[in-house]
Parts: sequence; structure tokens; C-alpha cells
Amino acid sequence: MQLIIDELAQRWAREPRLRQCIVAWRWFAGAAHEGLQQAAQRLGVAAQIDVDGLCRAFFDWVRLVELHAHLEPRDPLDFRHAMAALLAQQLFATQGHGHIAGLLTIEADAMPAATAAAAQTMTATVTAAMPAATAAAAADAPAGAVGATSSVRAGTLITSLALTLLQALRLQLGAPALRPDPGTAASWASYLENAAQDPSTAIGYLDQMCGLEPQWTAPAQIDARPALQHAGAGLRHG
Amino acid sequence: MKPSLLPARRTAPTQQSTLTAVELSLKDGARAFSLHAQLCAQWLVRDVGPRLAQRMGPLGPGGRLQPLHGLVESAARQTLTQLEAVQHRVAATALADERMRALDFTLLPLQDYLAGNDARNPSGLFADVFYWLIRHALALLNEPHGRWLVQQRLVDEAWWRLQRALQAAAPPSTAAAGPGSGQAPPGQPPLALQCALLLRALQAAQPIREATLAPWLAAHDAPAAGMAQPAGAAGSMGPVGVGQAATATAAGSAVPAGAAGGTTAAAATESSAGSAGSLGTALPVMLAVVLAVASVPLHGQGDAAACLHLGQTIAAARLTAFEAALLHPSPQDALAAEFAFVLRHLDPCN
Repeated sequence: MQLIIDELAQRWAREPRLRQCIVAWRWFAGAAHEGLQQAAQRLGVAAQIDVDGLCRAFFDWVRLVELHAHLEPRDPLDFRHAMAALLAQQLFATQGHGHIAGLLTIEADAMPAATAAAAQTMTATVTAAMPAATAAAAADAPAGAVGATSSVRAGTLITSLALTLLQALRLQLGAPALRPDPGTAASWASYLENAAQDPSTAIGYLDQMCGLEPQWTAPAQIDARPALQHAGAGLRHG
Repeated sequence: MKPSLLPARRTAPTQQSTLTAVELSLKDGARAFSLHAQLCAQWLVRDVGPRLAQRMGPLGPGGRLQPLHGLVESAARQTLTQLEAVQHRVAATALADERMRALDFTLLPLQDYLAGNDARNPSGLFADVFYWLIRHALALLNEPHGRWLVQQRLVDEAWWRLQRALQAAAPPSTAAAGPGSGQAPPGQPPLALQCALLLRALQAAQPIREATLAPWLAAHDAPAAGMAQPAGAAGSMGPVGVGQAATATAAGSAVPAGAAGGTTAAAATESSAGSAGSLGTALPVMLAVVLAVASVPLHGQGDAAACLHLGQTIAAARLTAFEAALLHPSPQDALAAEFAFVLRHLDPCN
């Protein structure tokens, strides 16, 4: 599954002050809007973004980033992974898992006619590449499970945005491009379900997808991340 | 004694002039009269008309009084339409504020509104712009037209309250503001602190009123207690904001015990029925307005509509945090910290 929107990531990576921009609402609002809409197009759905919800998630996320900013010099790359994971956590938390979506409202049938045809081709490609469980949930869900399907799609969009931003941050640091592995169908479905119910688990799953060692016991405890701890120990001993 | 390197602080009068107060009261009175006339006409058309018709007897195709009912209703509707048209024409021509009315103007940096550069009417620019910003912020919150009345005299009064607070809160050390606390010209408090003081000044002045409330119930028709206090006194801004945020519920709720802290008079006047009724709406509106103006770059201009939308979005997102700041034992510092946090995460250039 192509979770990262490469063109966007590369464009954002060219922004000279990306690290500062990403924590500025005026930049982030535009970027998030574009990222979520492009991800929705890839999935062949129309997504309505609640700006108030996005703003709430942004400031809650930025508060967490500020709180842990002192850890950044230890391992800037791992800190960027933590930033992206915390963003996913906040977006999942704002989205919620009830009937009222706080961030994204997914309307599969609400696409403009012009884009619907183009999206249909894209959906076939994306769905074919999706883990079986997600594809089944997204495409073949029974009528009663419309909420669940929306939640799956919203989760996919949120993950896509977080990973695309992470890719841009990595590229700007000169790190190699990321190819996240969504895992098996079962682990992908489990990720979306767990993240919807307990957003902090998104951090562990995202680390796992990126090939990092997840911290399952307290994923939101950024200073307990293995990479940051090793770097901290190195600094102390050095 | 060595001469100070800091610019001399401008000595501003500390009170709204009687002439301004009278002029703005007349303007507010005219606006209130116009609004009430409109509400009255609407009431006649929507409520009294149908009831009268109901009492007049059977209507419908065979009813004998149908033509009369139609006549009454059409006359009432015509009156309402004419009233609205006249009100609009008068407002557009006599008040010369079409662009403000349409939210089609540019905002200046906050310092420009606080500077009081017009010696004859130092608070005039602030009173005009903030009056309209508050009205538009109310509309953005989808508050029904005619429910709230904004009093420009009280917006003007907020400026004078703010001047006293700024004078009290601008020790020389604050001139060197840290990153993210917002830039401000030397000798002035950081932008975040100015925003905190402005929010509290607006909250204390309470320019938003229930339109249906009789004017004589409005607390501010009595001399405002805060106005009589010496500049910089702890209670000059009053702890009203604390009580307001916490008790923004039922009309008539009292300021919580302990919150008054020596400003009994202010607390007593400002916890009247009229004031408390508007509090739930007041904080998000004032916050949106303050954030809108604070979002304008220090040396630039901002599209008022875009800034107000931005202010409203952030106010909605951070309302809980601002409410918590108002309940903090040191609300001014807590508010300034929250404003600083928001402002440093607004623009990439910060």
C-alpha cells in the first residue's frame, strides 16, 4: 500500500524551514488540508475536514512537541519520528470513534462526477494493494457498518498524512526515504481499530511500520523511546 | 542622575472623556432603538398577526375574514420590510461604515489600536474597529440576529481600562521579550501580555448585552467601579474575567466567593443579571477578536475577514485552555502564557 504521497513529501522537504513551518498553524493548516485531500482522492472518497477539529489537534500536538523539545538534540531523526507519531495520535484522538467524527467526514458517494471516474481507476489500484482486511472493510462492509468503514478510511487518511510529513522531515535531514510496511492484513486492521479506541497505540504501530523498535508499554512517553534513551546514555557517558 | 535610555512613557488621560461617552451612548441608543423597533416589527408579523387572525374567526377559502387577514398581514410585512430598508439606508449613509459593516477592511497591528495617536479622540479608532469586530464575531458564531446588542461606549471604555493596565504592566524589563512571546516596540509589554490585558479589559467592560434586556438592568449604566480606581490598582481590571469564565451559565449567577478579592463594587455591578446572561457567548467572541488582531504582523496589515476567521477557529480550539487560564490564581500571567503559546505557533516566521 502506498501510504506516503511522494510528490507532497518532496515538495515539503524543499521548504528550507520545514521544522519551524510544521509547527506553525498557517503552514500546517494548508499542508494538512492538501495531504488529507490527496490521500482521500487516492482512496476514491471525498473527505470533509473539520477545521476546528484540525486546529484543536494541531495545538494539542504542538503542546506535546514543545514539552519534549529538549530531547530533540539527542537524536533529531528519532525525534521527528516521535513528532509524526504524536501527530497521528492527536488526529486519531480528535477523530474519535463514536458516531460523530471530530475531524474527517468521509463521503464515499459524494465525489464530483468529474473526479469520480478518475478515482475509480485509482481505487482499484489502491484497494488491490491494501491489506485484505482493510480493503474488505472499506469496500464490502455491510450497510450497518457504514460508521466502521468511515472510521477505517479516516484512519488511513490520518496515517497517510502523518507518514507523508515524516517523509518530508526525513528527506530534509538527509535521511534515506522511508518505505513503511503496513504489515499483514491482521496487523493493519488491528492498528486502525486500536488507534481509534486508544490513540496512543498509533505511536507504537507507526514506529513498527517504520522499522523502529516500538515502545508498547507507554508509547506516548517520548523520553522512553529506545533511540532517544540510547542517545541520552551516550551523551551522559560521552 | 543619568538620563533613561527607555523612551518616555506617554502620559495618557486615564478616563473616557464625557463628550466621547455621550456621543457613543447616543450612537448605542440609536442602534438599540433601531434593533428593538425591528424586533418589535418581527414580533408583530410572526406572533401577534397570526394570533389576531386566529381570534378573528374561521379563515380558509370560505372564511369571511380572509381578505381582512390578508390585508393586515401584508401591511405588517410591508412595514417590516420598509423599516429594515430604512434602517439599512440610514446606517449605510449616516454612519459611513459600509466597509466595516461588510467586514471589508484591513486590520492594523494591535499596537496601532492601543497607541491612541489621535489626540482629540485617542480611543476612537479602537472603539470603531473593535465594535465591528465583535459584531462580526458574534455573527460568525451563528448567534441569531437581534439576540445580542454590542455597546460601543463600553468598547471604548475597554480601551481606557487597557491603558491603565498597560501602564501598570510595562516595567522596563519586559521590553526584552523572549522568542515567542510576541514582539512589541521597546518600552511596551510583550504582545502576549498586551493580548491578555486586552481580553481582560474587554471582559471587564462587557460590551455584549442581551438585546431583550431592559437598559436600566445593565450594570454599566452606573458609573463603572473600575474607572474610579487608581491606575494600576490590582482591581482596576477586576477579577471579573475569572468569575465570568467559571460561571458562564445561568443568568443572575454571582461571582464566586473569593474571586472578588477586594473589588466588591466591581464584582457586584458586573455580576448583574444582564451581564451574566451574555457570558457564555462573550468569552469565545472576545477571544476571537483579540486573536484576530494579534495575528496581524507587527509591520503589516491583515484582511479583517481572514483574521477574524482565524481568530474564531483558534478561539474554538483553545477555549478550554483559555478558560483554565482565567481560573488560574494568576490569570494575567496564565493568559499571557497561553497567548504566547498560540502566537508563536501561528506563523512560520515566528
